[in-house]
Amino acid sequence: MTVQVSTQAATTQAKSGVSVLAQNLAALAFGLVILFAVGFAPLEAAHNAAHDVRHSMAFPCH
Amino acid sequence: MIFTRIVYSAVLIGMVAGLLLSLMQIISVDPIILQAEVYEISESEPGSAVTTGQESHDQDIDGWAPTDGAERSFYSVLSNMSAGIGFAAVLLALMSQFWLPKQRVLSTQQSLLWGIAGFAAIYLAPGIGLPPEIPGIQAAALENRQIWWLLTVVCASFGIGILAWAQIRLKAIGLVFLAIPYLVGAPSQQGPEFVHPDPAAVEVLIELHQRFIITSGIVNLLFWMVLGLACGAVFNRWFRPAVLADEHPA
Repeated sequence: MTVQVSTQAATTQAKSGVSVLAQNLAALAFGLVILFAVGFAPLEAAHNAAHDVRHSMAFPCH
Repeated sequence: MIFTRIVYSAVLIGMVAGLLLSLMQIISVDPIILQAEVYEISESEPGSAVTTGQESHDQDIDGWAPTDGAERSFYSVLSNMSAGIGFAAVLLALMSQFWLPKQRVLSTQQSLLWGIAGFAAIYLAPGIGLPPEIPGIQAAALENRQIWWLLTVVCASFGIGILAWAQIRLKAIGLVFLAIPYLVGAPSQQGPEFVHPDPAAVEVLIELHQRFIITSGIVNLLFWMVLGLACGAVFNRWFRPAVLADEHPA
């Protein structure tokens, strides 16, 4: 088990060609882009659609 | 692929948590927002006559906006689900980065702590400097508040991470990170919070604002606790075994 886990990062990179760190960063970026759209997008329609949610989550609004 | 597994998990968790958040908001927070909008004064015409909530809401905006009622709630649910997916993706990406190399699953308590850490970084830390706002409140320029909000969330995330994981002698750095936004100072608004001409209305708005801060605080805390528990459970039962199986097929 110890060996399995400790070699896991290297194996993943070898198999998929993309490092674990890069995949985690990509997933992080995926989340942040969505959150930007909901909480910060200046587009008027996006603001109005998410208006109550921005207020409820204490994102700066108006 | 770790990436696709995180995305699938985040979509599932985000939709469920977002739906739950919507239910809590519709019951507790939205009525306060709607009540505050009744007193909102049109921004395009300062000093103009006070309008009813519906008119004021429509006058405030230039572009498309959902009509009050079912449509407005529908878009709120959609936005809550999106926010849930975004937050879940961030939590899972961090769990994947920092917990996958460990040889154990997350305990319920640890999952709950992940959620509470999210609440502290995203809601509590910025809320100390910029309390949650109700419509009609006077506040500093939006751009300044957004920049300070972002700075605070980033600093609080690093600060909490360092406090949780760094060696004991490095933990002071975490405290420094937590303090930075308040040393910089939140953008502040000069003058009264509410400029409604009727003093009785201002009293109502102040009372509504206090209720809003407490209610949205509780709702957000519950949301983050659910999100932490759900991310921990999915991480343990599906994500971690699947990633390990990918690497070491039986």
